[in-house]
Amino acid sequence: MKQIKLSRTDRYLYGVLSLLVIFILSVSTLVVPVYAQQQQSYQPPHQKPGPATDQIQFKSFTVDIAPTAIQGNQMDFYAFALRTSAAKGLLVRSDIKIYRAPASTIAIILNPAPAPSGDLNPFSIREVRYAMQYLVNRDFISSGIYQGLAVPMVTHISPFDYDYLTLYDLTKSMNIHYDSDYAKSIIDSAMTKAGAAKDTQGRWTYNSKPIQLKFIIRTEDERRDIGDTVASELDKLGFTVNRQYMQFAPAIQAVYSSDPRVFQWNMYTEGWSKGSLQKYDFATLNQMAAPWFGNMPGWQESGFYQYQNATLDDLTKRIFTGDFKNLDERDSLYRQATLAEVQESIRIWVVNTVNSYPAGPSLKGVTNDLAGGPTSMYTLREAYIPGKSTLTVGNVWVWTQRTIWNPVGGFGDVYSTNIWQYIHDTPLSTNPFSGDPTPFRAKFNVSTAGPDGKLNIPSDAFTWDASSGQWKNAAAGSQAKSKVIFDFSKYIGANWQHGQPITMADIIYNLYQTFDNTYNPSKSKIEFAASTVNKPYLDTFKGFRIIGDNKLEVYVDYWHFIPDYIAQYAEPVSLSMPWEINAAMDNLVFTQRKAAYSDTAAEKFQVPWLSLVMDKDARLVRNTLLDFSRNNFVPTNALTVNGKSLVSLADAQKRYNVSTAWFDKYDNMVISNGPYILTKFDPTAQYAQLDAFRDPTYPFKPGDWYFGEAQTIDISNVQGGLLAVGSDAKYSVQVSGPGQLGLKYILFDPVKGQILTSGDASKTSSNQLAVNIPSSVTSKLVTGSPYNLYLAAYSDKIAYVSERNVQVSVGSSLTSTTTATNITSSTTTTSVTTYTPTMSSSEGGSLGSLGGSETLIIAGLVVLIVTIAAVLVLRMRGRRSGV
Amino acid sequence: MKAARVLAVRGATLFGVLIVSLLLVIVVLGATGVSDRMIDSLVNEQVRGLRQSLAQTIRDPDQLERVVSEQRQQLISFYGLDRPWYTRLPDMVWRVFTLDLGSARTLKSFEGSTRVSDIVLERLPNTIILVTSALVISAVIGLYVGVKLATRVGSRLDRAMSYLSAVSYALPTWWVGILLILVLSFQVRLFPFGGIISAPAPQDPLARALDVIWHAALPVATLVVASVGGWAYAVRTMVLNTAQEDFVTAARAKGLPENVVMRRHIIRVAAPPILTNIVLGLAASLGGAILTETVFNWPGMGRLYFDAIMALDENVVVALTFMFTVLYVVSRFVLEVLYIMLDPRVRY
Repeated sequence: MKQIKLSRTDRYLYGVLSLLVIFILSVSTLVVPVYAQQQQSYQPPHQKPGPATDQIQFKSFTVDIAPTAIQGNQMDFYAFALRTSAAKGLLVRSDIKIYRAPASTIAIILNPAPAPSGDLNPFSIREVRYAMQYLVNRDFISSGIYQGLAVPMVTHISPFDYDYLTLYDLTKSMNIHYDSDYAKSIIDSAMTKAGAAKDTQGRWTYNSKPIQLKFIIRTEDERRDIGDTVASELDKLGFTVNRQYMQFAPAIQAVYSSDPRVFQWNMYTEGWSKGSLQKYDFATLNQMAAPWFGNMPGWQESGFYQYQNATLDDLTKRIFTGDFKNLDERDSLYRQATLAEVQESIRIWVVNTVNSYPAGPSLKGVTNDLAGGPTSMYTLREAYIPGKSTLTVGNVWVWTQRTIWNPVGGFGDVYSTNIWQYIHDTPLSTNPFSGDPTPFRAKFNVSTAGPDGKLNIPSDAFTWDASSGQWKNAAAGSQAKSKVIFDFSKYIGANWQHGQPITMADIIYNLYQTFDNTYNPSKSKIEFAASTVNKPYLDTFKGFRIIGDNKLEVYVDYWHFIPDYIAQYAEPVSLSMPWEINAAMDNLVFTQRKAAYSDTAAEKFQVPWLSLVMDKDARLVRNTLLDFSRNNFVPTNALTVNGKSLVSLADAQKRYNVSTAWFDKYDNMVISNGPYILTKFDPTAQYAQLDAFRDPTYPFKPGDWYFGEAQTIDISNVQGGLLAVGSDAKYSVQVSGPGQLGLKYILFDPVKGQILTSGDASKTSSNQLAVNIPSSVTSKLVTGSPYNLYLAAYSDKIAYVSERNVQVSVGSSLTSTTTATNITSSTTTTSVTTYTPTMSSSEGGSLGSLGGSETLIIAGLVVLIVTIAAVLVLRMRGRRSGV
Repeated sequence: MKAARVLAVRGATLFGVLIVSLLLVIVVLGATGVSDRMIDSLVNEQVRGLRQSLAQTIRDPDQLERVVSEQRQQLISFYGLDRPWYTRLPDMVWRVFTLDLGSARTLKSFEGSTRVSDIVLERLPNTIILVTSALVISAVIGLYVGVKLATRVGSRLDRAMSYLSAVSYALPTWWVGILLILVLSFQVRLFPFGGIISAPAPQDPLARALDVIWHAALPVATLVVASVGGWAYAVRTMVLNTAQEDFVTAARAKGLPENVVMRRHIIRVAAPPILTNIVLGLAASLGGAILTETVFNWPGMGRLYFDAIMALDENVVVALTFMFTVLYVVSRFVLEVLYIMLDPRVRY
């Protein structure tokens, strides 16, 4: 065989090629689907039942100190959002990781009330209100004021909401953007028509009086800058804006407690926290646009001017009550209502802000959920730091004046619920990325007869009869729209935290408690608030049946086009506490009258608002259990179903003993079934401690509920052939992400402000979609004119859309993508913060931002120098005058 | 006898001050409508939040409206808005006057009690540890330094201390507090940055006490730094003025030793105004130091008063106003008695 001799160049080339091949092969083993990669990136620290970490310590840190505390290893994760300026400075640091969540929305609400005779309120004119849409520079606000930590929005739905897709083409067709000239033209025309005129200085007047706009601007956050920006724009258009800077209390008093006709305000900078993720919104639209709902000017307060709009009322009520047959009909109603909302422009939506939560870089297992961000129920079940058995979690407070731990009446503040969510397991939860109801510790199976149908309720189904105080069979001929069978197998047989097994008795007592507290006349007089709130909801429950040892069948008069939402609605019990604790609390509240479930009842009857973490209250519960034990008490009426008793005296005595022993050990009565036990709660020290519940019967272990970050939906590689007038055009788009992917497209003419065509792209392969624009559309194109091809990719697994704006023009091929308006970054997105509009961001207690400490030091030094200088001067003067 | 009569008149006057203060509270809170308006806005805000949460489960608009309306009535009753201010507030004032401080509406103690007396008794020791201690330290240092300076008027020490005193007096407490936190808590890590006790708290009583003292170090230092200058300069000035009196010159001329002159003729004469400052300062210290308590997250009386105003907890506001006024009145009366004892010139 002839030996082949390679030249030096060849050897070099072969060497490089070999290295390249080796490199590609090496890297390819690391490149796995992103979604799968996220699964693999979490390594459970162990396989023991319970949570990933052994102990969590909750401590209080003010928001200004939080980043420094994390850097100093004083805490591992901060469950309260940082200020925008502080967050921005931390994004580039390697010793702090920032989790982001779209937390709040900002709007400017306009007062539409008619002015008294002789005056003019510009915002009583619909055209003027609508013009405001073009006066708010949302791009500047999101990129300048919020420094990129916000996304513009023009309706009550932001790009972080699933219904953004429902409104996608509608939003685009509105073509709302900053255009002060356009706004001016509308305002000038409308104001002149209304009889207003500009004076010699270009200020609007009416009957020779200057038109003043009272703008209430909140000062606690970036709304101050937003208010100033908008006020400046109005000023340029000739309005005299009276800026009134206010904090929370005086602002809400001026806006929400005054008659709009009194004109304590014309405009106000609102801030809203986003509630739990809702894939198919029904409440937010009503809350933000429906006059009947009571959140529009007038607030449905008797005697006040009320903003009215019959069209909006009709449309929104139909959505609220579910008066539609299917999703398409619902979407149509939703679009009509949103269009009407924007046309009326009572609320000018500005941005959806993104909140930031800092954590140490070593923290693993965080689920950045679309509804709760990193503070969701999943994170601390899975979070851990390698090599450490304890996690330190910070929040602004651990205990406040409103802190109440009362699973029946409710928890008094968000700081308590943030801890409580790790102590108990709910039957259902929501998927952190799609927002869909999902089985957590209970499975479900839904049957429904549809919006107009009925299911017959079997004769052995039972309901609670408060008048006779027992479970009775459902009335003959009873019917309901839907039936849900809940399987509690993961509960029943497993232990409560005090070691006793969870049984059907716990479920039935929970059910009894909910119904009897609402329908029992003597109880509802005591806990009036709870009974009035629960009754309309409980009226829809028509019957229950125990099936086998572990299942409960629930008949409910409720329908939703997604069956999982029926299950969520019909979730019958929280199953958060053993029956004996519930029974002891009931006895305290309704028989002994020594405590109350609600603050209003506590105030009315001058008894403590029952809190199971307070020694005094927990002791009352313990003493009641001792009485139960001494008196051989068993709540047989509640725990006898269809003639069968669900608990024996012996079992009851065991329960009483272990529960009282619990108090002796932990000084509280918080006994539940979740992965953590509350072992310490110290209000003075602002400290709470959770220890892992490692019972072998606990059904979950680390890794079971890890979701990580929501995978991004990426639009890439948009390819297109020559776009020619009168010819079909086709664009190929590559979309990647989890689940079933789809792509909506809109071809938009920015010059005319019109949608030329829109639709759903067709799938050509698993991640390739085709946008086809027919010749009937392209024949209307003008050569040289720019057009926007808006693309919105979505997935059934994630409740937000990913957008891209591609600029196309006639006579050119498209070979690369442009202007990604993808709002997600590699570390983020999604979800909700626990920040509420009622809490000042300065609630942490510090008076100044330690992030601006340098400014403070400089200011202090200036004061010092000035003082010393003044003293010196005075002394010198004194010497000269001989004093 | 005459002194007793005068003291009785003074006492009655001070009692009048107490009454007027309480009446002013009623007028400010009630007659101006401030209290009703703010509580009303609180109710509205809660109702708006309630409407949002109820909408998740009550899908019938009429039922939703009915429930919201019923809840509003409950809240109105809870906050006492169902009674006009001229019955609500005077009742409250009369009750505290009879030493029944009542219950807080929204505030509570760390143990969960809503009784105002429990809340106050829980916070008062915190304030004594912080503010009263700082006052005592400032006063002692101020007295010592002030007297020393008064005997070295015009010296370099006197001039330097004068400047420092002015600086100390000018320094805002909150700024000093933040500076100390930055340097001593975050840079040097010698002291905690806030709170009253470590989390978790030590169980051993001695360790717990030491832990509280360790937490109190920075806030006390803050208050001392911001107030000691004023004390020193005030004492210096008072002593200096007295030292320039003729009777002091006469005492020196008689050949009395300097320490006797200082003790008997200067300090004793200068004592009443100094004592006034101390007694009134002690009384005021029990009202807490809102700024320092906020910066250091110290649960004291100042913070309590602030929280009560922010939460519009009228019961607590009225009770605390009454308490602070009583403290002032009592301390003034004590001063009147002390003047008679200390200053022989004060005779009626």
